[in-house]
Amino acid sequence: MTVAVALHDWSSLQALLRDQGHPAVATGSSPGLVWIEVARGAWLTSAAWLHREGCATFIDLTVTDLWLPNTSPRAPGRFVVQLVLAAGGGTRVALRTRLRASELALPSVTSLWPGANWFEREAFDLYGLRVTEHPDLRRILLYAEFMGHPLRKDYEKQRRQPLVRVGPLSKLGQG
Amino acid sequence: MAPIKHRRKERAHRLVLDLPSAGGDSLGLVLGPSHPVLRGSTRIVLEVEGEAIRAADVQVGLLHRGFEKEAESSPYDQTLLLVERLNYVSPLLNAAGYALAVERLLGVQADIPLRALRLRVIVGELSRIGDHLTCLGATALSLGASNAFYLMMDARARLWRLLEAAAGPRLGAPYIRLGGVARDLPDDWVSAFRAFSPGLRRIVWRVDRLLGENPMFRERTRGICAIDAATARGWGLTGPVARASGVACDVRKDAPYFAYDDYDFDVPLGEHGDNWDRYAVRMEELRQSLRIVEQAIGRLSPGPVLLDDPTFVPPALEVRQTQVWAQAALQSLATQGPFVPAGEVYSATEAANGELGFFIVSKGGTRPVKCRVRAPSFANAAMLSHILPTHAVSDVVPTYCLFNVVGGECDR
Amino acid sequence: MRSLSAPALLATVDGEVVRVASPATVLQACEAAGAGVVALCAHDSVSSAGTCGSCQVIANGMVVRACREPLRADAVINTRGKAAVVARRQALAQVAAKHPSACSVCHQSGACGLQDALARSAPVPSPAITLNALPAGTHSDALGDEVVLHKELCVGCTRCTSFANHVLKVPLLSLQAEPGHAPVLVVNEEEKLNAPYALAFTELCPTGVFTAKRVPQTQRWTTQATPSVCPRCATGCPVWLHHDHGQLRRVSSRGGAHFLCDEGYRLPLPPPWPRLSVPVAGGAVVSWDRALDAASALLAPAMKAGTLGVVLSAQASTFDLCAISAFAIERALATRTYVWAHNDGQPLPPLVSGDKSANRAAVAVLANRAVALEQLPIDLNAGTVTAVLVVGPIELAPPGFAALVQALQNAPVLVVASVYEDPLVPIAKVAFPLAPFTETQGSFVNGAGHPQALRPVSAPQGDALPGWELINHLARRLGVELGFDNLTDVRGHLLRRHPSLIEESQT
Repeated sequence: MTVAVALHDWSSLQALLRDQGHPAVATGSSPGLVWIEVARGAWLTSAAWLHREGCATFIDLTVTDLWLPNTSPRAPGRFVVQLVLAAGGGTRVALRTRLRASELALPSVTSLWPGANWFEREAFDLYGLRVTEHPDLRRILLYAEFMGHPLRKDYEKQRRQPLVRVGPLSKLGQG
Repeated sequence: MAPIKHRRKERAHRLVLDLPSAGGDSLGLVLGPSHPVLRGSTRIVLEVEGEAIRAADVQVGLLHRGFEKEAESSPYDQTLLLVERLNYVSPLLNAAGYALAVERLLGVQADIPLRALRLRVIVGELSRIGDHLTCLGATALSLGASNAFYLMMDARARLWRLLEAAAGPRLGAPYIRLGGVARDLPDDWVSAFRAFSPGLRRIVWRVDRLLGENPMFRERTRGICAIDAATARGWGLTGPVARASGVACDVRKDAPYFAYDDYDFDVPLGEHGDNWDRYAVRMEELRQSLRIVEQAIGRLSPGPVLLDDPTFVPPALEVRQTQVWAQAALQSLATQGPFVPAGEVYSATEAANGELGFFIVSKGGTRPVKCRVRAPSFANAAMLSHILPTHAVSDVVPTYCLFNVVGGECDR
Repeated sequence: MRSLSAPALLATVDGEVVRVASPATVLQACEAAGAGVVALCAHDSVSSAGTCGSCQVIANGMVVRACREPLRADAVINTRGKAAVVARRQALAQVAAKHPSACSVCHQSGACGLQDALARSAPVPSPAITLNALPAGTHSDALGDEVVLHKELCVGCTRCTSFANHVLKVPLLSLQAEPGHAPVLVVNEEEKLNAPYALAFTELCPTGVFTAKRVPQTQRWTTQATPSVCPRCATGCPVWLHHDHGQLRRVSSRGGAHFLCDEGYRLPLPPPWPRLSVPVAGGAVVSWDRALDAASALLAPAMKAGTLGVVLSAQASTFDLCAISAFAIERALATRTYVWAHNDGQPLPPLVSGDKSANRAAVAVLANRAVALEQLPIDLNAGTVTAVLVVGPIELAPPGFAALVQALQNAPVLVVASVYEDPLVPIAKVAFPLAPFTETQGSFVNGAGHPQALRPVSAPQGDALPGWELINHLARRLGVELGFDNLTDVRGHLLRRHPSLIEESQT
């Protein structure tokens, strides 16, 4: 439990990020989760800091699209990328960053947690998150010919996809 | 398992190109999806050299049915029916995990009647037993031990009859509700369970003798696909697979829900993280789950099984017949579903294969903005690609069985 | 909507910090936070009444009626506090007592504010009234032919009376209370509704006292809502299009005045003509390829001779107009461009503009050299125009339409792109099916000059295509490359030349 207590003290991360020129850090908690929100440029640094602080277990990586149909799809902070980690015990720690639709890209955290591999591929597949330095970035749940990213809010649920020729091994060459 | 070499040439060519090629005498081999063990939900593309696997690409998504998109446009209570189709081997565990997430989002998790929590634990642990029996039986069958498979399937059939009596249909039972469970146990259920449990214990004991003392089974599982604890953490493994690697993680102990801290049970841990440990951990969990169910039955106290809160639980018929508001509330619930104020929650439960997490974001409304399911099978399946190389082709099927990748949950 | 520079107030609602444009009420802060407080009597189109008490919350420690209370900076609002919940319950108990228990047979089918309020508050004891069927509706001539009244559903919220008195300024409705009895809605039969705003009452009323006769009340849980813009006049009201599997079912207001005119509510009604869903050439159904071949063969000689006339519609979206303008005006391929617009000059306040062309402002920019349609018969008779290409939706039959059809009958070559099988289609040599505003992305620039986005509710029906795509295909057959292969191209073209016509959020 000492690890979990140490994690609530974000000041060393804040100092680290201030030195790197990404001072904006917000912290908070919601049921089941302690979260920290950093600027996009501080993503990898903060992830590495969390890894050092004892968040060795990778849990989840997902994107939330907060677009509401009445507002601009280019609004800042439309997408929230969230990396959930476990620090031992029941504590779950989330690292978040907010991205615009035009800059939906983040460096991969697979070097810290190799398990992020499939989750980042999923975020790329379903939300179009471009993960840089990913070892194997290709669609995972959908086929290569799929048009668009279905979990984005501007992808209508009823939208149809063009008919593609599905060969017996078509999932192999996807990417 | 037909070798690709004898099929059309360009396909074999593409196949080899797609894999990190070791060069030399490697051969492309495609397992599934039409394979009795992969059950149509997974394809494993292997590059083999003789019997040894050089590279593996586990491909999922063949069962993708858009759970998250569907949940974003469905009322919270209707998603309960869909959520049970995630892990269709233990549907009630999924439903309980989702219900808990929504209850936490509504801030009512402390108000759920104790009897409802006990019932959720009883059907949940029985579902876990059913899931483990399926997993272990399939593993035994994949190694040729069909007698153990038949014993376990027989036990599972009896167990499902019990679950059927308590929850309704065998699969996709709409039993878990927001605010509790749909109905109380039938009168003779506890006696039926007491008649069933010694039989289950006997079967577990017999299987342990049949497999555990079988030198062939031990040879085929010991030291196969061993994962150390640090690797297991980094790859996001949870549940029995992680515990077999010695990672002490169990949401029931780490962050107790459904009053799990009332029960006395052990979390078995493995040492080497190999297939034997994964088998042994699941076998022990069968016994521990049975312990929990027996304790929960002993602690059942009379009381309601559903929370009385018309904002998300439909009012009872007697109330609806006499009160104007109740009819209005019922129609509002039936046509739009419960209103959930703005907020977000990450709620984890221990499902049969590991941490089943729900991340739900509400902006105030009857539909969630985001309903993410963190499926344990997805992370476990990712590990398979990494762990299979250097092992023999004949180890793929038992390892896949022991990881228990459930297509519905993995692909969502 | 455009109050970005307006001062903002910060408030904390149930622990959630929200930002609301000043001035605002406590209710608006609660709505911004998604707290789920249902206001029965307050409505954005009428001044707050504060009569029902269903929106009571705790603001800065006091139980207040949220719709009346001005929001102060850094207010702390609690909607779930016991005092507020009890106050709401008591208020709703009184309201529910006036209302029959007929939810299961009520034609509102769930589109009911009272139902929401009751479902979101804890139970309140109420008298047992059970109805198996609603009494037959009565309709009042004063409210027009289209509205049915079910007075027994009234809960006395005063939304309709203050709308009639203060927005429409007609003393049409009143609530009259006898001592010891609940107030009763009374229609003043002496007065007549002076403008087409009868159906606005159906959207305003939270409990279904007013029901549209012709526009069906659909079960709202089966429909999805897409934000769009009403195409009926130059006011360009923002609307929600409620649709079900591509079928438009219901239209409601999306901000702006918070209500619509009857024309807007009638959008889901079937149009006067059936849809044209396949290309037609020489009276026979043909493929797009054949139709394009036929049309280009007919139009090419006139284009070379300099006698091609192009008619564009001021009801077409900006993207369509951009393509037509690039073809006809920028490339100077048409001798003359005519504008099909309908301006009957009778504004009906507060919403309806006299200009019936939804996109007149874009026409003024994109086709400023175009002439009025009245010139076309003259040019046809003079022989300066021998082939006519008509592109654009004719959503309704405007006055003078018959005269135009008559004039075009004399055109040696007529090629039409239309949404419906209107009277032009039979006399055209080639007719192309066009996607209406509900089936394509686009934008309308309203009379005030604001571009507003249109979003599709479904893919184009049958073989229909958006106007810009049709023009691109046709131009290519005629040997002209416009380079509009997808929406991004059209959008880029507009952004370079007329950025004021593109809404920031247009994707």
